[in-house]
Amino acid sequence: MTLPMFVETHPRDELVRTERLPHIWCPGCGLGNILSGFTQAIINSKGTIPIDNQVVVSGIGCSGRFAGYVKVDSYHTTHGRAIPFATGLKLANKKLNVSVISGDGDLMTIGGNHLIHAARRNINLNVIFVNNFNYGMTGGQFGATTPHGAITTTSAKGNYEHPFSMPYLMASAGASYVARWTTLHLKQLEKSIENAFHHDGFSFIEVMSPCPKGFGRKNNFKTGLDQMRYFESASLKSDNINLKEATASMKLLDNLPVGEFIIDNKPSYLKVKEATILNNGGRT
Amino acid sequence: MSENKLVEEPRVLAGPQFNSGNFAVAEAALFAGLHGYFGYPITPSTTIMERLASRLPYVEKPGAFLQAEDEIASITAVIGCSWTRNKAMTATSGPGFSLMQEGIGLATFTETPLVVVNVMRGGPSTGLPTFPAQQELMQAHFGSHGDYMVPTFAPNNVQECFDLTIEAFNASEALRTPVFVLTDQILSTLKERFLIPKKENIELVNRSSPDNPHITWKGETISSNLVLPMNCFGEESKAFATGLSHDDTGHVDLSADTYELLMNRLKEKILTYQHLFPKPEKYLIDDADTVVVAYGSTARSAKYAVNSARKKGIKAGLYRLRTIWPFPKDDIIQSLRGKRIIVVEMSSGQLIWPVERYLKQDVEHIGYLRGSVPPPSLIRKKIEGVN
Repeated sequence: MTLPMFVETHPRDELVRTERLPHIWCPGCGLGNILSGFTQAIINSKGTIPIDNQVVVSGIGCSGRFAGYVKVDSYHTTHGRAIPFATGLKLANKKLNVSVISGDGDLMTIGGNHLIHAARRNINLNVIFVNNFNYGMTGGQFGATTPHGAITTTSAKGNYEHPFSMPYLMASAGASYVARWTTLHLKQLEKSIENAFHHDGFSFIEVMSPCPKGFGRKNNFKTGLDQMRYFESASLKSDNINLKEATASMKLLDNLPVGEFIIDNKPSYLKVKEATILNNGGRT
Repeated sequence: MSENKLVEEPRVLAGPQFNSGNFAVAEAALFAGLHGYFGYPITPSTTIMERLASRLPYVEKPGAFLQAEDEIASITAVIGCSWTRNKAMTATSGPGFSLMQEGIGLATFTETPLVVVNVMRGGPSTGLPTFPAQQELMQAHFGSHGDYMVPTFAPNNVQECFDLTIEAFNASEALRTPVFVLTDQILSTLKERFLIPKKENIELVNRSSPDNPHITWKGETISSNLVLPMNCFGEESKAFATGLSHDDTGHVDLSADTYELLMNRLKEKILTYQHLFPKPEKYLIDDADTVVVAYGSTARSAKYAVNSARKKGIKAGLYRLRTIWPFPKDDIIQSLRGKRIIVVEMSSGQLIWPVERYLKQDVEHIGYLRGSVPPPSLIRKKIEGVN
């Protein structure tokens, strides 16, 4: 059997701004996988959420360019501010299904205040948190999720700060859906994004993603493939784990807990707000 | 829950009122069709937020209210709300205005209609939270990085707090731009009689869209070469916008030609329609030898001083700016060049810069920094040349 050398269209082209390709992401980067999983989740959810109601908001950085490639209404905000923009959108037009897709430096380091408050409000947003453990676009500096000891351009002898565990932080802040995958878990990620779309409240999905240029090559993952192999050997599906233990050391002998950690049906921001206003201030 | 039905309050409280400048700003926003208010408490702007928190979710065609975690979130959520083709605003004071500068740059560059009310207090830093000042005139023009211009209106009484807030929404929608209203602590709490007109007596402008690219404002058709029709979210248009340099479709383009074209168009659209912005008040200036230039609550004191000087036979006048930016340079040159000019402001020297620059003559100055409006006697003495 011979395979064609070229295909005219990709099955998910309807959801990609193909005129913007080629994208700016490096070989070995995981963002392409996430674009693939995200667009597939949109297609899978077509029956319940019309594509025209899907919105993507990104911040700054490599992941921040996501908004420019996905072919739905999308906005590329300033650094760290994707969540406030998304909040304004969602409150102004409830029919929109608003997803925030951005990186760890953007969402947690500079934008951390917005992230924890959005989780506290249990506001109806889907956050896809692409964690590549460093600031890729500016050349590989450490951030709030960089593992302790990791080499970066601003921690040449090892990072002497400690990282956040994102699932633990988000759960404590009040997020009602919390999951974590790697870019190797494409099918699980796809399903998880679909679950987030249909979850009424604040959904948070951390996706650990290789960054060979910025992070990997300085930290024992010479290529993107090496980091994917690590994801394969270290990932441990642990839906019921104590989230205190949901770390991501990126060390060869440590486990990398993944799974759907929290699915809580507590009322969402919009539900509580509506009930409060209808009851003229009565608590629900 | 479904049996509960909210009894909606009227959105517009037409008729005479006796209330504060902040109250008038809030009611004007509702009148103009405000759909989203996102803010952070800060004195002396807070009562605008409190008023809208208790009104906006409960009126006919209710809107969204959010007390955000900081002013950066407030302004960015305002931008998000505006991209659903809804009118949105925030109000703040000095320190909050500083935090908002990042979002203001984003709003100018993505051509997002919105209104920011800055109720000025003394700075820098935490400064004088409960006393008035006029120290954000330059920040309104140059506060965010990069070149841009935001139309900036300045009322000096409660009626104008209402009227200029409506004008601000209209200008923002017509020109796809953020617009500032600069008031101050005096106006925020000052109570006066003012009139909320009937809805049919006020023109309200809504931004253009691909279906309706030709909107009019004050009888003028807004050029769709300068102000691009706006694709908003949830309208099946696959809209995109970015804070990076971009072409007319909104997509990233860092080329020299595109960037230069974009920057020139953004400036041009404001300057082309500046004649539609609020006009200055010219009080007794025709025969005046000495003219006081002022804005905001300072101009109330200045007018009193001008009247006192006139009683003594001194030919004094007042030129009160109602649009600060773009600066009405042609009008000020035509009206004032050659006269003796005294700029009065609650700042050590901001308004004096454009006045000197455009008049190209010596200008006298009262830069009052005592957390109150400069007293009329001080201004009168300056007019008389006593001090």
